[in-house]
Amino acid sequence: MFKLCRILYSDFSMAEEVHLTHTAALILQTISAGYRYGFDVMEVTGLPSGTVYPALRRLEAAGLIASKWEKEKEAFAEQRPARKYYRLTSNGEQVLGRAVKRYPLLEQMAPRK
Amino acid sequence: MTWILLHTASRLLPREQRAEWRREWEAEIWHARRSGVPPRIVRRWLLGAIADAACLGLRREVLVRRMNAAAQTPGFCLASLLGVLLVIAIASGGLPASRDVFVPLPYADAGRVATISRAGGSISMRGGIPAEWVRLWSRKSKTLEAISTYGWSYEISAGERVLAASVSPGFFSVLGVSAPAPCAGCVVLSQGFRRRFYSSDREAIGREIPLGNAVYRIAGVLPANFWFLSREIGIWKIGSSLHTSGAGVVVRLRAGVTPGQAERELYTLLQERDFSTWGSLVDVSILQDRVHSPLDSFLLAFSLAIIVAVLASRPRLRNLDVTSLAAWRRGAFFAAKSLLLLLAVLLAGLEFTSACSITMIGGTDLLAEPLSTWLFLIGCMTALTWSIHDHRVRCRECMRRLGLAAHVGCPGSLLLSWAGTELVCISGHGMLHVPEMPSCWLEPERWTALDSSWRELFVQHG
Repeated sequence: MFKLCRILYSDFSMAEEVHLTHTAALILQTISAGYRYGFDVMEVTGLPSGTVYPALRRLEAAGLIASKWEKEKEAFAEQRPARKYYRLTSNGEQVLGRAVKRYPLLEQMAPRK
Repeated sequence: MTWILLHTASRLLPREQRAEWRREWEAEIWHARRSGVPPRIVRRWLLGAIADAACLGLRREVLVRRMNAAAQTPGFCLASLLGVLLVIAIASGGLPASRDVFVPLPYADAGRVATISRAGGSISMRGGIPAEWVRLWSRKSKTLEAISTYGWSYEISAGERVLAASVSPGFFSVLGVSAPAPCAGCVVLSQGFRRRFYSSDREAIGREIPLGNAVYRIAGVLPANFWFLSREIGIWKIGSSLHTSGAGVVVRLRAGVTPGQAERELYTLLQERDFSTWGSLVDVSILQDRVHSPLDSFLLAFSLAIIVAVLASRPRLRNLDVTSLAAWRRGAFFAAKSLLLLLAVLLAGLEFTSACSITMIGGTDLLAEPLSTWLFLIGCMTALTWSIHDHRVRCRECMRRLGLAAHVGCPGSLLLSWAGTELVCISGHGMLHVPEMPSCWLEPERWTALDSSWRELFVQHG
């Protein structure tokens, strides 16, 4: 019975899977490559700020990325404002894996940092 | 520049997200500048902040939540009522009837211009004053300086249905208004009518105009601010309006003569000619007072409505804490809301019923009649009832409308336990308990204030 429930749940999850656009997949890949800030993502992808930041919000709302403020102490020590950085969630990694199969050139477009 | 743009864009976001959003963008811009990105590029990036804020703040669910939250605020309530007043002003074309009521009549020495009707007010004016009476008064009266008659009807002119008045030759001089000299087969146009069909006064004067089965010559155009009976009257036929069935009568009283003195004299003159006692009772009323009479009706209705409202709210007034600032703020909001509502009732009453006054019952001032008092009374009662009900279901602290209604208890066992509806302030200020069936009318709903420890349970709407 438990097995059956798991199968049904996984089928349901598959049906609910997120379909990324190429731009969203590129942003996800860029974050996965170690570029953790909106500004870095813009520089690497060449996408305008009006695309990157809204996309980050949507990806975060979809649970594919998570954001966190860096520690104030660290930023203060370096005499700069604290930044909000993004990282992939485990769900985001799975979705990115599927997106890379769909868009094979994605990894070349956002090389590792 | 950066600061202004970010602050302006952040207004699109819910309040609780604004500070963090600005902080993120300020940090990003700081790092971009530090990395040597040219200012031109940074400025372009900044424009992306608007798209980002719009993406966060204009999502459908966020918008719906924010609109629902805004609709509960006292500011929204007052703004809506101001909107209603604006709609009335636009729909009526700039409140012409209200301006007529508040602005003095455009007649010379208007305080001496009066109308005569059979006692009982304007309802009797449907029959009008018999021509024989008018002739008698104009010959023998010592209290009247001048007397004139008028009548009105809808007529067809060049395929259009227009309201036309027939007035006796001395009509405009009785009112003290400059008008062309009366002539046979002549008409005078109102400014409104002239504007509709002719480009200038000069173009209109001297031309012929068909009216009913006859053709008249336009002798002149009346001043723009002139009106009598109704602003709808477009064509004034100057001739004889002394129909045997009777007509409306307008008079100019001699200086120092009161309407009461004129009434007594006119009545005596009729009695001397053996007219029936009851049939010859007349009412002389100053035109300016009659124009202001809707305000009297409204004040009467308003006073009655206030008395009823105070009596109905007595149990709540008893528990009113006049020492707290919150109570005064609530009182001020209630007063502002009620006043705006009552003003809307007054303006709607003046604007949208005055047009019927001349056509429905033939009187000159329907609003001065008991019917208008009833109309205002119903309007005032409805307005105050809504205002009181709305006030009951608002938070005692922030004055937002309460929500999240929950039914509690069992109505079948009222004797054993409390049953009713509980409403909650979405900001967490308190709870209102409205009984299902009040056991005593002196026991209204009960308010429970919640302390700040409860606040975190409630979502703060931006």
